[in-house]
Amino acid sequence: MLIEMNDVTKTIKGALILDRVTLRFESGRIYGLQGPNGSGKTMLMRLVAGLIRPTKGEILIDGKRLGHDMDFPPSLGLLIENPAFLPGYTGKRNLELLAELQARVGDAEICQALRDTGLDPEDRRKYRKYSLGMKQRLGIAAAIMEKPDLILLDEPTNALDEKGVEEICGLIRRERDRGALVIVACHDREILEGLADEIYAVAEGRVERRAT
Amino acid sequence: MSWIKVFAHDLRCGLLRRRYLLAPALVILECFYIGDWAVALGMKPYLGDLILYMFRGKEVFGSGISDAADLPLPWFLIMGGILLLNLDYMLYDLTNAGQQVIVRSRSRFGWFLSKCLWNLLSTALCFGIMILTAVLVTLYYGGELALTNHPGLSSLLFGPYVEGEIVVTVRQTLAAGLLTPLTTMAALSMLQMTLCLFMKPVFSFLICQIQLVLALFWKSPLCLGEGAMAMRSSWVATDSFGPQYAGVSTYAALVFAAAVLVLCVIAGTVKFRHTDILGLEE
Repeated sequence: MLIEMNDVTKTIKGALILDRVTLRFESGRIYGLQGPNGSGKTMLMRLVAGLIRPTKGEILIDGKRLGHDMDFPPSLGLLIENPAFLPGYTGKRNLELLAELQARVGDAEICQALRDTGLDPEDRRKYRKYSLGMKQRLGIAAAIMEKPDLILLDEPTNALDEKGVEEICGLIRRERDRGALVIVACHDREILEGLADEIYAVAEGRVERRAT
Repeated sequence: MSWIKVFAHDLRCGLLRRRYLLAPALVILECFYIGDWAVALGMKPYLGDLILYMFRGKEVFGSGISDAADLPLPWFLIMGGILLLNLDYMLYDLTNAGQQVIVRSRSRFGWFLSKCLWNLLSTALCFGIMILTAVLVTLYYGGELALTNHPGLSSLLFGPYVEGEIVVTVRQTLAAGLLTPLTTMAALSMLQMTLCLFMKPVFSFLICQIQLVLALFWKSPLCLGEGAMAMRSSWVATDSFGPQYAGVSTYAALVFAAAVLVLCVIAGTVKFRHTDILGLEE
């Protein structure tokens, strides 16, 4: 998969969110977006996910224009902002309901995704009873369970302890090694430096590559 | 992926909600009001009495029959209540679990179409719960489950329009008391949901409320709420007070509501294709 952002500008209600951003993302790599809160990291991910449209410029996915040739990337795993699931169902049931939409994976893959993120597939607790860390892990499990070509993770280490951060970083690396294109937004530079193949600094709507 | 799977998500998340339990509260006072009146007059109410009273609305303002600028609160409560119950689901879903659903559906059109179907079903569900409430209250008073009215309650139902006793046929009750109000409410609710794509939900809700108020006090075929008032039906509001005060034909009200409904779906589909899907904090 190849994603090209060509001179993308995004304004929302007159506020400049991203300013003439040109980037290129390729499969089999982890890209880190680093910057303070409100710098535009999440908006950049929303643009790549097809959730918002560029005000100017274009985003191409394997040569096809997002928003014109397709509404959303064809194979996408997503964790943006806080994970949101149906509170009255177990974590596994939530994943099953999402998996039914594309019917690409079955029970074995769902259980594996839960185990990979440190959750127990047999846990009968409802999502509303989950701790913040468990919710975050379930959000990551939802993003990876279908083995998508493109994985967007916004602050994936939020609410995780040190061991949890290590586990999730290992999981992200395995997804990269599988051939997925992974974009991770994180305000913690140290975590990104240990994880990403390339890091981009996002500040005041501008994006610049940093040496890694 | 078929949009039917997205629709299954909307049925699960949008229709299995506790808030529908509020629907009986919107009509129960009106039902008991008409029931108590019937008992006071030594009669038992028919189901048709309760339904026609719930959706009676207000006579044509300025007709000389009654120029009081009072709001028919029961009717307004029912109409506004249904709009309020349907107000937030689409945007709530779009900022929560629905984001995972829409990216997997890979189709904005399919997602919005599913929300339109949900909207129709939700309105019908509210309506059904209200009618069920009327059925239960009728049984409570020992009345008949007939879709007609008790002739002795004519003046209570239709006030100054009716002198003496009239019998509303089953067909008239079905048309003016059920089908037209339901279609009108579905169109208004769809209008409200589509407007939410252009403005904040509170303004969308207010615009629809203003539309209802205009329908009460300004007689025009362009007022969507008029079809939801049994008293404005042409078989109640005849042109005996002048042609300008004659009621709307059920057929015309149905066609107009259906046209608004279809236009809203088309406008919403076009707009949603370019709508930014943001989070709650954005």
